[in-house]
Amino acid sequence: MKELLQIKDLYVNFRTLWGIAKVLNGVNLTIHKGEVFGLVGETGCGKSVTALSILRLLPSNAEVSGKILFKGENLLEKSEEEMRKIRGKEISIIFQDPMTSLNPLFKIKDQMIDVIMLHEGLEKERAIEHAKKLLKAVGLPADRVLNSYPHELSGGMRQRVMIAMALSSNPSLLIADEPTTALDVTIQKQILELILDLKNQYNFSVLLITHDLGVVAEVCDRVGVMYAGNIVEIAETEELFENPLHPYTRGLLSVVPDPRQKKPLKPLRGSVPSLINPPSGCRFHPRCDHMRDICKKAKPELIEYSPGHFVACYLYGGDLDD
Amino acid sequence: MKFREYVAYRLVLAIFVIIGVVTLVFFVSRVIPSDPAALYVGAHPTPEAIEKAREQLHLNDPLIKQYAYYLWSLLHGDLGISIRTHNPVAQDLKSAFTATFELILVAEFIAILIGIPLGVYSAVKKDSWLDNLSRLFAISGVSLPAFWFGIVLQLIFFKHLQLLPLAGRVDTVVLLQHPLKVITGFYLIDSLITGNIPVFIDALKHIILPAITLAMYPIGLITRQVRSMMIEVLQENYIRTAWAYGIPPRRIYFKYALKNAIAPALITIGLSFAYTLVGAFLVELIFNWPGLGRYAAYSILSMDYPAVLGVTIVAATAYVFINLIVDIVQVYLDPRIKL
Repeated sequence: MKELLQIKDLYVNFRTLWGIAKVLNGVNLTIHKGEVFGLVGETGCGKSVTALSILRLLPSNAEVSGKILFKGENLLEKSEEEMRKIRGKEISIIFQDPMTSLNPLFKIKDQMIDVIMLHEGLEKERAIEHAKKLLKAVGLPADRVLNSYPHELSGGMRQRVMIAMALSSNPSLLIADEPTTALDVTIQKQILELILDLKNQYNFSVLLITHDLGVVAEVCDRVGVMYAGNIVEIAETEELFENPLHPYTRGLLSVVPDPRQKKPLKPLRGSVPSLINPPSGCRFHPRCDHMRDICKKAKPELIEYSPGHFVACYLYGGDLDD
Repeated sequence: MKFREYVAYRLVLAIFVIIGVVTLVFFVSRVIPSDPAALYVGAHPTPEAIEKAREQLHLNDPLIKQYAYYLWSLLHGDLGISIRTHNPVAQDLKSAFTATFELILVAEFIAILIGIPLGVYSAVKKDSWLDNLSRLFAISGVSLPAFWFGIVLQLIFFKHLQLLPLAGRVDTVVLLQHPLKVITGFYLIDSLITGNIPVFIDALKHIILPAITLAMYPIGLITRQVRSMMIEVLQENYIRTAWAYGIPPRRIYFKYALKNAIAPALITIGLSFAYTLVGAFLVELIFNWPGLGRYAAYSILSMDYPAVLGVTIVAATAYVFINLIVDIVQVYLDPRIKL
């Protein structure tokens, strides 16, 4: 499979009043054409920052370094103007909270056709036609929704509108940042299925950001696990669930309740570290049961332990002292 | 509630407010110790003349009867006879009010035209030199006294640069050479629709300085309000959505963000209208503008209570209607407001 997006050694620091927050600490990942790549981790581990840095939407107090190659071109070297032609056209994003992601004072029609006219160069009438087609594709009553204001729609409907808008220019990559977190469980499933359906229909790649391992198991082809600004493990979904390598991944999987086996959950000890003063070496070492001296000294590299299964942990080699 | 019903409902409420104001001012003006009849007759009156005037002005009737009489006349558009000018108050007010209202409208127009973009750019370039400059400008606008600022403008533009006239509404000579047919009472509009260009230009020259003086305060208010609302709105998720979809910055600021930020600023604009109505009293004296403020000031000084009552009613009515318009525009702007 061909690479669509490659993130190489992405570092993001935020200058804050309390000091410099080292939010991304050398993220490496690749998304192939046509796949659904899941990015999982706890709140604050840097998933959303990764997504926003792809679109270069980080606030002005962020310092970014590294490479983000999209179709072979480094997005971090593009001008604002060039980025504007990529946003919403080549790479689309849908956000976590559909209740606040649409402008409350504009009709759906006006918000959608503005994007369509901008990227597709269509006239107003044709743009409205296109918007109708898109709304039908996401399963909405197009005519009614077009003339509605966001507050007249339910959360699920708004997220469908966001998806329709995301697809308006046939993007190559759809970033879905916790697209179902704010929705009812029944609606969640519908939205996920819709994204999968459309993916097969329009043939784009998906970067799905979530903290919900159930969602990952259901829809993702491959998964990256993030901890405190690092990717600690990448593998195909089945492989990851059956054969988790990194101690953090194992910890995550052991806290998924299984109603068939009534055994107590084993929560990870400790808590998420501060990103202003992160632990040295492997950021997971204070919470790790397998901690060795080397873990405190140097950050473990992401290595391919078995074909297609990457892990960043000294348990699996890369230990310079040995 | 339908839109029309809402407007009708608000109009009915407005009438009650105005009746309340009339009642209050009527009785307060009667508490002031003075003899309107003696004032009405003028210098060197005979006792008979005063008694006759007292009869004519219904001053011998019980207060409540006088009040009822006043309301009844008011209903017919009769505001009584001015003690000072001996003209019907309604007639005096009509020309004074249009003069003032023309001035206020131009001032507010300037204030909105400058205040909104200044507020938007201040918010977008928060804490830059532009923002600091505009904040300084806004604060000086709010805090500079109008009487001082007006005089400084006169010094600069009349005395030193000799660009603009000192005072008045229009040059008498120009008016004599090109007689103006009064239709609306707004000189700028009347001269324009009758094609009287010399008067239009002259009236425009006359209105610039008083309008700028009057606009300073609302410019400051509007700039500060728009700035703080814009800063808030620019943090919203839907603005991030607009960025994420490649919408150009100008459209984000002036279309998607400003519409959300303008609603609270509208209330400020409405209130600043009321302020300019009050501010006009001072500015009109400095620029010798034949408006409501000057008329009110002279009326108060000569204890001309029918005129004072008339001014109060006009000011209250204008205030109530401006607020009504602001509320209606808000309903129009924000679909979430349920009537």
